[in-house]
Amino acid sequence: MSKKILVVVEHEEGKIRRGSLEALAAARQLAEAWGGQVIGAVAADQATSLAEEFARRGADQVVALEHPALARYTPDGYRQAIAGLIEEIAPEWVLMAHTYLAQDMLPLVSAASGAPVLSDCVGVEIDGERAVFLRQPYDAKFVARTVDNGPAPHFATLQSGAFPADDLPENHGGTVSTHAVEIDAAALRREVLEVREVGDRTVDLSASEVVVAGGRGLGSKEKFDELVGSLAQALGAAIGASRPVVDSEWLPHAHQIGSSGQAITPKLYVALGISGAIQHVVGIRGAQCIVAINRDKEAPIFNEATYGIVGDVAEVVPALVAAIEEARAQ
Amino acid sequence: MKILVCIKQVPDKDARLVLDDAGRGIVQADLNWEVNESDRYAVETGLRLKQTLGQGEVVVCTLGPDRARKALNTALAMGADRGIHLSDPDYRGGDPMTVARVLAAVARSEQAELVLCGTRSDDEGYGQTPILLAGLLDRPAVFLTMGVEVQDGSLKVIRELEAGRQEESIVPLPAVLAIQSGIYEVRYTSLKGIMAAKRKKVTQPTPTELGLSSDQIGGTGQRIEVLSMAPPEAGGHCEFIEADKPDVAARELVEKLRREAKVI
Ligand SMILES: Cc1cc2nc3c(=O)[nH]c(=O)nc-3n(C[C@H](O)[C@H](O)[C@H](O)COP(=O)(O)OP(=O)(O)OC[C@H]3O[C@@H](n4cnc5c(N)ncnc54)[C@H](O)[C@@H]3O)c2cc1C
Repeated sequence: MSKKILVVVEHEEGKIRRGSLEALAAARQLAEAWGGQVIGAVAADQATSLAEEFARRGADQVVALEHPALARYTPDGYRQAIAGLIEEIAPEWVLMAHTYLAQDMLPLVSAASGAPVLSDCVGVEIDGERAVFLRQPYDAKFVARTVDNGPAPHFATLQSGAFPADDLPENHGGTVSTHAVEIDAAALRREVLEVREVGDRTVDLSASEVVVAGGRGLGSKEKFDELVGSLAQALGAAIGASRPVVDSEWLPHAHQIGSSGQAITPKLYVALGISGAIQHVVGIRGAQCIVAINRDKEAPIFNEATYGIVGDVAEVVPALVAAIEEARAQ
Repeated sequence: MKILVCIKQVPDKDARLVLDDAGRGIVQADLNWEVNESDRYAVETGLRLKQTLGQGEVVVCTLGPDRARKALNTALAMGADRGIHLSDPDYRGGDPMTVARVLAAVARSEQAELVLCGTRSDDEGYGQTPILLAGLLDRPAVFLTMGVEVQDGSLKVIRELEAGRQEESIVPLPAVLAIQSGIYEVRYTSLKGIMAAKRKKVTQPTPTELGLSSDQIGGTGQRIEVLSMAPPEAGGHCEFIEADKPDVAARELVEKLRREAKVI
């Protein structure tokens, strides 16, 4: 029997999220290696047009899981819809983008069959009948080749950007079927009151050509203001920050860069004392040139950087400010 | 309200990690250990809830070898009432699912109304144990909790969403919450707290006492296997500017930014 790879599609404001297309790209890789089939699942009150789009982009078959209670995401609603489909089609693998929604919901589904999730994967190797997923334990200091030795279904979530969706077809011609699913309304235990924006939007870093950001490595608010401030001034740059800086209230949230902050696309981005965690890095992938200054040569930020200096910010930044002023004076 | 807080001991953030000979894990000897970052916020959340309610018990629980006792002591010194150390060798190894099974058994035997965990451990970083646990217990859960209040016997919970948004919801008890790092200040352990912790009770239930069979847990029950582990390949194209003196490096960098990258 040909292996089925199920992709659970995430959508927002009537659009398929990019991560789900990346999950589709990963699923196609598995399906092609095994002569298998990619099946998509879209849960919504009206899911057909999204399902059609997913079928065009490379799924062989897409199931629109429809119920009025699926008009907005709740973990129990999605869990019921997806668990039912898994039982029906018996997939080998269930894939999702490693998003907040997937982390909030997918382990509820997998636990029902005693399966853990291979989470936040950055690559896959096909080894005969099995898939070996690559993960990055210890804050990405290592890459671990990881397998699930249990029976199918297996579950994995995929890190943003790890499986590029650029080469997906535009007109794949997969089929679509619509299922009216049964949802036990009494089992929807999370009652959502409100979804809201947090913090002010007073700082818009998205339009800045140069951004200088500091992280926990600055050590204190005083050092942050002094070092990040002086370099930003020398470069005429806007000021950004990693999340711990905002959590420590050195700067308001409006300056935060990353998955729970802003995504920026400057010509030049300078990261001072920032380790380069994936949640930060997703916000700076659009930068044209990245400079990292960090005292740890192994810090993952250097994998993203164009230029790097290994050193203490307290020594390097004043030297850099002086060198910029010197160059300006010439 | 009885609150169970699950914590994990992990290598400290600045630890130099070295691969073991088998190339499937890290060398654990000589490391400094600490309570996982988001788990500290879970402990803090439990203590704050108890304070606000003016009653209840905060029980802190960890699965880990003898050294993990120190993590429990930290939480007890912060103010937790009692500890559970899952130190039996049969618990060792395993994956998020086997750990969730053990924690589910503890939550049941303790009849905890609220289970608090961190969101993700900074070691293996699977980030799913709390939600697996909720699945096993058939309780509602919230991942990435930014705030929680008890309201009319239910929980009012704020969940972090992507791109600076939040969801506010009502979740009935009993429930499981995964607490996000950084949501408020975590209290320090005072000398008085440390002294008091010495007198607090820590139990070490065996798998049999929790009604667990050994093939469901630890190394025997695990499904996830790490085949090999290695440092990441230098995937990037970072050009390191190497100079003995910061001012030489700085000048070279400015030169490159002007002439090569043409960004300043
Ligand atoms: C759901 C979720 C969402 C998140 N969203 C975001 C987000 O939007 N944005 C974000 O930034 N993070 C986010 N995070 C947090 C992220 O995982 C990291 O914890 C965070 O980015 C780390 O910040 P940092 O690099 O400043 O601190 P650390 O990781 O502590 O790194 C500090 C760095 O400074 C270096 N350093 C220390 N001292 C010096 C010195 N004197 N000179 C030079 N270098 C020095 C160290 O070598 C280290 O690399 C999120 C996490 C989660 C779980």
